[in-house]
Amino acid sequence: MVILIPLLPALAFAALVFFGWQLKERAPYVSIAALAGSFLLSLLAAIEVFQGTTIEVSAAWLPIVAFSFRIDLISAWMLLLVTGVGLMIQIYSIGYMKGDPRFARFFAYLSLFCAAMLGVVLANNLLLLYIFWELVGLGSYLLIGFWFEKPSAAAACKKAFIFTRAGDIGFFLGILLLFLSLGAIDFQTIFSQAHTLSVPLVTAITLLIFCGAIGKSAQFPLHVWLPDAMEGPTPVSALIHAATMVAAGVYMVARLFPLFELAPLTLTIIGYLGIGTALMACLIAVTQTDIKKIMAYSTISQLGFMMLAMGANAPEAGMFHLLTHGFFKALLFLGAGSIIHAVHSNEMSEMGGLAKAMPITFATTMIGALALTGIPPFSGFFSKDEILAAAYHNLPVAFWLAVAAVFLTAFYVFRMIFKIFPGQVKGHPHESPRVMTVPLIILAVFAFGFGFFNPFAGGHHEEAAPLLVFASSLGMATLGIFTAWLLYGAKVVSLAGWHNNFLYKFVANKFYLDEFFIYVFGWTATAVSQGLAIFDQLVIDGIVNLVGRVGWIFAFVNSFFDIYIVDGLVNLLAKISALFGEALRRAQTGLVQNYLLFVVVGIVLVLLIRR
Amino acid sequence: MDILAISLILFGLGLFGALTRKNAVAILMSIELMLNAVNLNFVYFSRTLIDLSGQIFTLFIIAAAAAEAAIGLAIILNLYREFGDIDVEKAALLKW
Repeated sequence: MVILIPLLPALAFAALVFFGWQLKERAPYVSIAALAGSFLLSLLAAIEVFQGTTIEVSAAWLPIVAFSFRIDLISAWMLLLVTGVGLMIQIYSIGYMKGDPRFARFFAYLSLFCAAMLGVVLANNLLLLYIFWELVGLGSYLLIGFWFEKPSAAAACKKAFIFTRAGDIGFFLGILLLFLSLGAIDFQTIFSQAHTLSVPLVTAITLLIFCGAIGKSAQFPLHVWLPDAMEGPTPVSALIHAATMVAAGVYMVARLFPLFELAPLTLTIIGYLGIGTALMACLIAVTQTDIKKIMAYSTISQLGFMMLAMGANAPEAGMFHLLTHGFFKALLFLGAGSIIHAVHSNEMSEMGGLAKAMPITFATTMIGALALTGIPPFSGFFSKDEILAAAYHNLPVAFWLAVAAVFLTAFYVFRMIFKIFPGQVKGHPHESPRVMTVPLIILAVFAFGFGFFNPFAGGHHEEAAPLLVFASSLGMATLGIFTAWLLYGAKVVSLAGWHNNFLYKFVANKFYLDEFFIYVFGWTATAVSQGLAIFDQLVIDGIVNLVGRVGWIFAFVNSFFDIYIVDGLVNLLAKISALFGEALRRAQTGLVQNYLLFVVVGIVLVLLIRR
Repeated sequence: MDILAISLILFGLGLFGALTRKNAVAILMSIELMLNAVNLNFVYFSRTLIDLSGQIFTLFIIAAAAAEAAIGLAIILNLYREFGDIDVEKAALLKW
């Protein structure tokens, strides 16, 4: 039964790849039915898990690797999140992707992606996790590059693939190192034996494994792929960047937390890297004008928060935030998609007065925004509060940085809200069809209410959040909203000329990180390959040419042997034959009587001899 | 015995004629001579051995000789048309 959870979408993928062109408009029913099946199965499994059991399924596969799945509390919730949000997004896509020439193909890719992600969630050993992890990478590549006719989308999917791959190299090395030192990659064995390893070794292993999470969960400095990945269709952005792919990194750290726990240094690095990423992404989000880009940077910064939770030794808080974030970010992305669908543009300058034109989208996006900002009683508040509390106890410096990030989060979200919803209607936007708004409403319900019960409450990191944490996070969030209202709602302070500021430009250009990668890695790679090209031409080609020349000389000598000795023998035989022929042809006189004479003489001779 | 001697002489004359004469008709006649020498032999042995098959053989040879003479004369006629002569030494195109 557990096997079926990822298998159903995988089968839907196969079916749609091969028969999608025949199904056309009916293609989504296949993939949605498959994912709904997975959702129901996940629900059944989750109910079992919530009663306190752990489901484990295992089948022999390779000598050291079993094909094993495990559902515990964390993975049960992840299953529900992935299948639930995935289901909403697939339903929404029916409306969003209507009329696309590769309509069926889109749902095939969505199914593949969901199958891979469910595999990541269920995997009970590192190799299996890694395999599905890479399949997720493949799925994201296909989905981001879905509109591959656009050069920017083609570039974005390659960028996403290469940057996540850069992190995965570290992940793979980490797995190898762990396997070499423990001889096992099965999670339970690792957790029970990891304490026998020395601390520096565990630190090295966990740092390497964390590299994978840096790539997948878009942490600094490998986060640059995520904003570009907005080139994909918006439902893809919602799926990849809210509930699934980027969550995989956080989930992986949470799943392996017993191992990470043994390396305090790694945890500290993760924590500070997380909050650094969060702050940086918030700052960039403030300068963006494309609503999907704002969402992208918002995702990066929220992932930073989750990583902070991991670093602050509170994986439960991080997972809680992952779940709430999965709902409200999917909601925000789908809301943004609904807006883009109506306005046909990503730029905020083209939008305005959408509150009147698109009331459902407005209401649901507001709920998402409040959840993201962390205003009680919306879900984001509860999870963020737990992270802040954990950080307050374990990483005090990071706590204050996080408070700043909370302020910036509120500011950039409401900057967007104030820019696009109030005021005069621009153009003729219209509310999206019901197939798109219903998923929005369902997600909004979760984004609002999910925080009221923490699925991981009662964990061993339970510590009462001090009033200071509560007050500062709420105060900062309110302050952020108020500042945004001052600048963009009421327009009390004029922002003219601000865009020429050096600092603004620095941030708006994403800290020139893309350029950094292009110049440093791009140029290094070019220089190295040019050097190698010269080496190739001089040495490799030289050797090849030398071999060729030697062969040529051999052939030349050989040809003499052929011409004079082999051919000579053949010609000699032919010459001898010709000589005999020349001598004997004289007998052929043409005179019948001569021949007759020969016959008579011959007969006489035969008779004489026979005697 | 005498008859065998006659037949041998007859065959020798025919062979000599066939080898030495230049005239194609004469060669044809010599060949007829040899055939008849053979016939004579067949008849003689048939009689001495009291076996009729020799005589039957002779009848066949006479028939074949008649056909051969007809074909041979036709060839000679064509030879004459081609070369204006029936001298076999002139018809020596199939030489080296």
